[in-house]
Amino acid sequence: MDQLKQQLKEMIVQDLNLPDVKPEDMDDKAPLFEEGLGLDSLDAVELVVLMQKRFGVQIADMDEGKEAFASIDALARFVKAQQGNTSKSIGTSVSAT
Amino acid sequence: MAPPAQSPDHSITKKRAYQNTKSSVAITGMGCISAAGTDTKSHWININKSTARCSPVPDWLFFTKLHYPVFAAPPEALSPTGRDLFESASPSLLSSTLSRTLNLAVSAVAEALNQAGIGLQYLRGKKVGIALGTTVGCTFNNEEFYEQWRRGLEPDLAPILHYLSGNLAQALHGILGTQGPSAVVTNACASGTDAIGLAKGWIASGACDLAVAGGADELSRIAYNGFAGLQLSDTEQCRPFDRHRKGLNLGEGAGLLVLEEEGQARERGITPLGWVRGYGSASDAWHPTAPHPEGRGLKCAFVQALADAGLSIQDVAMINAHGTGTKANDLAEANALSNLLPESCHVAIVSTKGMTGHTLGAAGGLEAVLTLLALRQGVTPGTHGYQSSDPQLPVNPIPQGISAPLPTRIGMSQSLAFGGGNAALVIEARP
Amino acid sequence: MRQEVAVTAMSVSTNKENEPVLASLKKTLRRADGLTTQAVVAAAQALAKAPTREPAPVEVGIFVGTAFGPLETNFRFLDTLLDDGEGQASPTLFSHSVHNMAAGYISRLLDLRGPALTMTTFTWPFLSALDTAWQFMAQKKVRRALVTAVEAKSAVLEDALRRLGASDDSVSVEEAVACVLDPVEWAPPGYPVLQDLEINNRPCAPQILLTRKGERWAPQSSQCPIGPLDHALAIIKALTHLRSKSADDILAFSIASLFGDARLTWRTKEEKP
Repeated sequence: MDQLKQQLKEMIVQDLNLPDVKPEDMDDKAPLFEEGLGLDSLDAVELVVLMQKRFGVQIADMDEGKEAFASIDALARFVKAQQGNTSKSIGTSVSAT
Repeated sequence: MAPPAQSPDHSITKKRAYQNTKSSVAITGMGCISAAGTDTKSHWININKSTARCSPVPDWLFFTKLHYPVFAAPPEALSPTGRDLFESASPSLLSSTLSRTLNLAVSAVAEALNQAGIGLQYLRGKKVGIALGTTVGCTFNNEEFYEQWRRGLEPDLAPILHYLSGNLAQALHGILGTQGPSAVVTNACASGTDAIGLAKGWIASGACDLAVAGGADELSRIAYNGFAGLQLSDTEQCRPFDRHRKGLNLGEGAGLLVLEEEGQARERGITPLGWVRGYGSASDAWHPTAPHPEGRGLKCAFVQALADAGLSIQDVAMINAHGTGTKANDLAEANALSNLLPESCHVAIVSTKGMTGHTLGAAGGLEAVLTLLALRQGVTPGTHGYQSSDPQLPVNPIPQGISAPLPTRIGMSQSLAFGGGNAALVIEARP
Repeated sequence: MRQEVAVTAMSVSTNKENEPVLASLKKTLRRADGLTTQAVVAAAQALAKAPTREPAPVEVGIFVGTAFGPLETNFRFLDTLLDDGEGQASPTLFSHSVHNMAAGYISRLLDLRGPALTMTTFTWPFLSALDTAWQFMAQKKVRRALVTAVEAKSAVLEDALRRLGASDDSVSVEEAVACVLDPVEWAPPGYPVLQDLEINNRPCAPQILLTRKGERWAPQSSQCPIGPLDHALAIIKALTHLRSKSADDILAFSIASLFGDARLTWRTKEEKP
């Protein structure tokens, strides 16, 4: 779980372009959106794509996304739950045309 | 490219040149093409009969694994009227060398010029302004070229040259053989509305004798995937303002107006179809992609447009809303409108995107045409796709299947764009 | 004649003086591409240098001119589409590949709520933005206009240029030029006042719009026309020179090319009587 959280933190810092944030300083329970890290709706949809690409996790809609993205803890739990429900081979990146 | 038939007649231009007074900007012609029809007549019929349907992306457009339906214009983007104009204006060119967006624009301009009673010879003797809005039409879309380039190959440069030939306003000037101001407004979804506003200013100040203004855009796999990634697209036909709306459907097309100073039009023996009375444009200054929740920029643009027209909201019979069918847009727009419309005011609010899709850069032009069409008929069809009211929205549009009579001949068309731009027009039809 | 307007501030994004501005905006520009970053820096610095008149936010218009816009960001988006497949392409990159994103950023970061128009043309994007801004001021739609021309580096275009036989290798720049247009009465004496602007376009072979072969302007400067931003840089340079001379001077700036010609006439604002 800790390794997953670390991966998530690194992905968020790198791929959502947060130059001032260090993964090690990120609080697992802190909100990612609005307060806390201050991510917005554009980051949210980017995160959906990143989750699919990196972890093979599908987020059905932004209502599901809202819950899953509440914090690093919530995100890690969501990934675990999704990966537990489906085999690892499903949901990996759609083959490029 | 065909040269002008005669040198421009500057006498009229000189008379009005350098004036900064409010001349009456008449609309003497209009033209459009989209999924809802190939001209204004077919648009009016189809919108009233609610017969336009979105469909899965047709193979002849591009291949996709995604399931968001679109409103595709006919495969042949150049209408018969457009082809007539093209062949007489630029006989040495092949329409197949033009982008789809440009072909759509030529179709619309041909209809508009015909309606305005303007032939090529007349056109080439005047200072003609061309102001067009577009989003896809200014981008480099050739995936095949790029895919080969990034592999280190040296693909044929034809797509690059095609891209460089594709500035819509310059290309249209080239096709028509005309001279005069040229502008391509790339304000995302408000482009067409801003382009008409810009051209209105040209006519009012005498910068040109007549203007062609509006917007054109084609469907593209790049934009299609972009909107999908932003989670703004619906997997079903869009439902503007509806309680169950889930997003937009992309569309394509062109909508253009011919604008002239009213006195000049009457000198030609032409009675205007209507007038562009007012224009306003303002920014949310809020978010890269989402509108301000209260539509603050829209409110500003709306008020400016009315002030520009010297009219009040009491004069307005209908509003062609942006109404894309996304949660955020329709909420922001409804919030703004509830602030702008007094309780006593019964303005018919409609969105036509349930019949045309969201045509991006073309939307402002297409919707200005559709607004004028309704005003001329004195009645507006309801909002296709809207069937049940959303309790979160403080105002509701005219529902699908209902036609609302219009007590005045004045209406507004408004657009909200990515990046927070907002634009509004006040349009009046001649009774 | 359109009512005259004055240029009360100018900025080039890559000037060393802008480095602190860039540093201070780093966080807010975290998602911005090079094009938007340059445009914001130039626009912010120009506005900071403009006379303090405090027009209301809604009275300030933003007019951006570009030839190629966020072309490279479009290609970065296409990279994600080609590499990761449909449904997994980056929405952030797509939204930043729309031409008016820079204008949206300027509007947001500087809290400017007037019209924000982005004009796209291969010929003279700065002139297109300037002309539109001037019209909006003359028609009292705005009291102040922030005019910005911006381009980004593009490896694809550089390659195309090389293959078309252009001699210079460093042919695309990532840079922006911005200026503030104000009512003449707001400008200090000696500042440039725009009197006339005429643009005539002409059809030409498409590659000319990339190579800009034959483009030249007067008065001559060390600036050689290479790309669609250079006319803007040359005009800014000429205006800076105009300001340093006597109040009687008129600047007639003319551009000739295979894709048309343009003329701008400037005077300097008179001293107070």
